Amino acid sequence: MKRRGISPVVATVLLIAIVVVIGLIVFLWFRGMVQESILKFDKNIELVCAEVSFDADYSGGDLSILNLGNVPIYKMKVKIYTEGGHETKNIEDFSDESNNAGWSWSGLNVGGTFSGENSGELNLAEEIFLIPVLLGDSDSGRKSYVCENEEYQIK
Amino acid sequence: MLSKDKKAVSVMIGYILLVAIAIVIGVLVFQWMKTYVPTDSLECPDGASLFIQSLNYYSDISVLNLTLKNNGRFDIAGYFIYAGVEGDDLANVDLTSFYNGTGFRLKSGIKISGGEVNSFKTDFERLEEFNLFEQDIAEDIVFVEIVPIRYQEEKGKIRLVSCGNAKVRENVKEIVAIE
Repeated sequence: MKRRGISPVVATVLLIAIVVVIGLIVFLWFRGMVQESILKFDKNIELVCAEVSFDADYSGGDLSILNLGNVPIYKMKVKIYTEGGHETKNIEDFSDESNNAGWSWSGLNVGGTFSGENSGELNLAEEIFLIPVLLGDSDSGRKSYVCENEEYQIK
Repeated sequence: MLSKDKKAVSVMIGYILLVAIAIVIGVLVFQWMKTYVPTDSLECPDGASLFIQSLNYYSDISVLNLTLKNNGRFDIAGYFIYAGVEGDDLANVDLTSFYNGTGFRLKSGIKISGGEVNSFKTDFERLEEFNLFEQDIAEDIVFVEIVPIRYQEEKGKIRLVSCGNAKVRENVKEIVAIE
């Protein structure tokens, strides 16, 4: 009995098409899992995080930060631990807008200082941590990156 | 009956494909991983240092005078200067805008001369003046902190580098200028 299946050419085309589609699906899935790399000073921003150097102090309701290193700090996260748990705020929330001494939109440049006031919330805190945020370049433009491993305890 | 006269790609083409695929994957992985390779970070050499030889604050005219000496092993370009007030551990008032000396004001910090040069030579001294007249800090200034800065070449570019590790601190001694 003579039975005919699909021709070898069609089979090859189908095979290639299926492989390409599966490849695309795997690629898109994997790209979603792998974080987009952000570069600063031509290296991965995670490495630059380790070079951030700043001094900070909280006393008398004033929060002061001094950038001593050679990496500009774009923003700063303030992690406040209280009895019930913790919350993370942006440094802008501690800016003293009354005398225009707020956190600059361009961040804290090398040698720059910041002084903010928040007598209530920070006074109640059991522990306060500062986490620097850097600005880097990625394929999709400028992106900020939170240096989660570079916590600086000020209280 | 199945034909035995079937041809696949030749062994040579198989090898070429294999090598080509390996090279492409290698290049892709290299491009991705090379950003994770640590490189030297931009930092001041250990021997860079500034010494506050004298610091006098004339409280009646709100003038801060200080004599700085480059006591390090490297020439420097200038310095960041901050003042601290009573009760603070950290000097957070940038004194740049109150500078009244012969150097040049940066956005933050003082540069000894124009151009991108480290003109404050080793073992040299200079007198600097800051006028705090009618400033909030004038009444409360307790200490001063200085961080040297210097120009360094990094990947063919000249960059200003903060010597955060060489920060020096000095308490303010109030004296009267006019008796």
